[in-house]
Amino acid sequence: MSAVIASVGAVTGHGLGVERLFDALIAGRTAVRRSARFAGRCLCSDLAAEAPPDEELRTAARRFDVPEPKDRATRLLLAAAAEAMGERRGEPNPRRGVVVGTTKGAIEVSLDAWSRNQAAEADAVATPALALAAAVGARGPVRSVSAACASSSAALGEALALIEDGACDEVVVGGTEGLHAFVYAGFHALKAISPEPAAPFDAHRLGLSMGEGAGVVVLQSEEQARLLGLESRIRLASFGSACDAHDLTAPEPRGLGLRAACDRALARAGIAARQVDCYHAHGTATAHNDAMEAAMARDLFAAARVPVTAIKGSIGHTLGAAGILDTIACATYASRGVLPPVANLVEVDPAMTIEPVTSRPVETDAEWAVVATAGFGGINTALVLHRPEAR
Amino acid sequence: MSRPVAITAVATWTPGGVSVGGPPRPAGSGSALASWPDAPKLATIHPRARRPSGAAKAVVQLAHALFEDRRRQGPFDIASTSICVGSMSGCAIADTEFADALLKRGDAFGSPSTFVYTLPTTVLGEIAIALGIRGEIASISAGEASGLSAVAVAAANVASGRLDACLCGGIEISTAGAHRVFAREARDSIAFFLLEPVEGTGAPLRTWRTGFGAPPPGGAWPGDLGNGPLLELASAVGNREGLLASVAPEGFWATVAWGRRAPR
Repeated sequence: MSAVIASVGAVTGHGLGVERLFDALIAGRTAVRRSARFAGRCLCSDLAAEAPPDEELRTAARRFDVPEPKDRATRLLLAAAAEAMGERRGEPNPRRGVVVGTTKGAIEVSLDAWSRNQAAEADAVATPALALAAAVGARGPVRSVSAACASSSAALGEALALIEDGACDEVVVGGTEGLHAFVYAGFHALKAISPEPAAPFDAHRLGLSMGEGAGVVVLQSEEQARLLGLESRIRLASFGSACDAHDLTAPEPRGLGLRAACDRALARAGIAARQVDCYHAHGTATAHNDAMEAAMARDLFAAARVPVTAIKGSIGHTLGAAGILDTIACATYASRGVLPPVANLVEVDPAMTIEPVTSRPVETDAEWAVVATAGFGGINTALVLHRPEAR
Repeated sequence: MSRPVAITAVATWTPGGVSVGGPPRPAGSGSALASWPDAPKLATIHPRARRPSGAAKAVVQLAHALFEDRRRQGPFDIASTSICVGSMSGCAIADTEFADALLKRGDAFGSPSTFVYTLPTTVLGEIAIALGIRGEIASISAGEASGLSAVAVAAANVASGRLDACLCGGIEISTAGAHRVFAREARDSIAFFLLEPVEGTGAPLRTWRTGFGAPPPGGAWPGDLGNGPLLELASAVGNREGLLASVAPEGFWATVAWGRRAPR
């Protein structure tokens, strides 16, 4: 059973709104630039794709009657939710759920408590979900889901399950991640950050660029969407997930875990790999991830020339928000019949026998798309999107 | 599709000790997990573990003991199992260790080994690597309803056929030396349950619900964060029937009911 993507909202390094994200992706523009926050700290890079300042986020979310968030991730999430909810009022509704994917949530609140030698008290990972539930009037299931960099993809999968099981008519799904020095230092320690803007699938790629942002998808049951006249919108057709059981940080080199996730998602959508018209890659631009993904895609799609695109060259790696921003981007460009180029990709790595979109956008009449994500702990997810108006 | 779901194995580790296949040990006086002298050696069950955190080592050992107990009941395919665990304290100890190191040594000198454990799912990934689990992995956060919410999510996924079997429950570990870095008054605990789509064996689950706002009748179990209700559940799975509710002050709630149907 699928669910309808009724509306979306996004905040990225390109600013507030899905339109700004779409325009930048189509133009192949990157939001990765030097950040004063990370300069002069002896880190391997000072590049990041930073979202708008707090004041702009507060203004965007002013319509919600909720307490002022104490953390960046929640501010980002509410700003994205304001776009996704539009003029709708969040009347309390027991058939509306909220599921949010994040890895660190309101971590700065805990860090602040520890800096004062106190025990942290708030559930930092659940904090953004709590605020979103209050903002949109959710009285059904509300929770946060963590699955490393696949967190918000897993949140979409969980939301789809709530609709499939009849627990909700509508789920407001979020993914959010603030960019903190704590996390930047961690990826520096792992030697994963590139000194140049990330260039997924490029022969000379040097690693990822950090980003921050939030995405919100309002997911509705087919029946609810029909009542609201939204039946022509893009569907979230299925979700699949699988674990590598290989290594905590490095992916299984052949992509067997990601392949299993894709196979599960395709089987649940009831389609074969040859029917897929677009593969939206995780595409972090690390040596290991891109090689794994290319090997997996080559194996999955075999002789089919499935175009590949990715957005982390444009908005950086937004960690727990990555999966939902990938999904919002894919739903948006697919509905408009165009695939964006991979930002910063100049020379495709010859070791990769896949076909990334380079230099300029290409027209498409894509009906089926796969959005892939992978994360530490060997977690892999795949989402299948369906555009009913294609062809 | 809606299949029967039952708890087929249970294991708990509290300040009172370790229990596999039975009720939790009575809590001791401290807040940290009790020592486990007979714990399986990590080098045997997880030879590829590099420098696991204390929490990772504990959860791998307890999960291993649970699956060993399950295998004594009959054949079991661990590869297709998934993991869904709730936590309110998350990875507070790893967070504090990594943050302290940055303060002492500078931003450029954090430990990659510690940073990896600052994700709630890393310890679950460690279980998967150690035991060869290749299903889904996710952690659930819903305040003090986290643990029971994870059981409810796992039950829904097994009943629907989305998952073959699921290791679920809660992990609340935040005692660091003489301090607690999360919720000063709570105690550490791990409570694991294995859910399978079986009938006639184990403790059958009847209903599972999660919600937000006005909760259904029930209670909260302060003192063990989200694991209080799970320890109750572990105590009660041998009983004929029962209902547990976990209610967080912020508004998250979860309920799980179990029990055999009365004979006609």
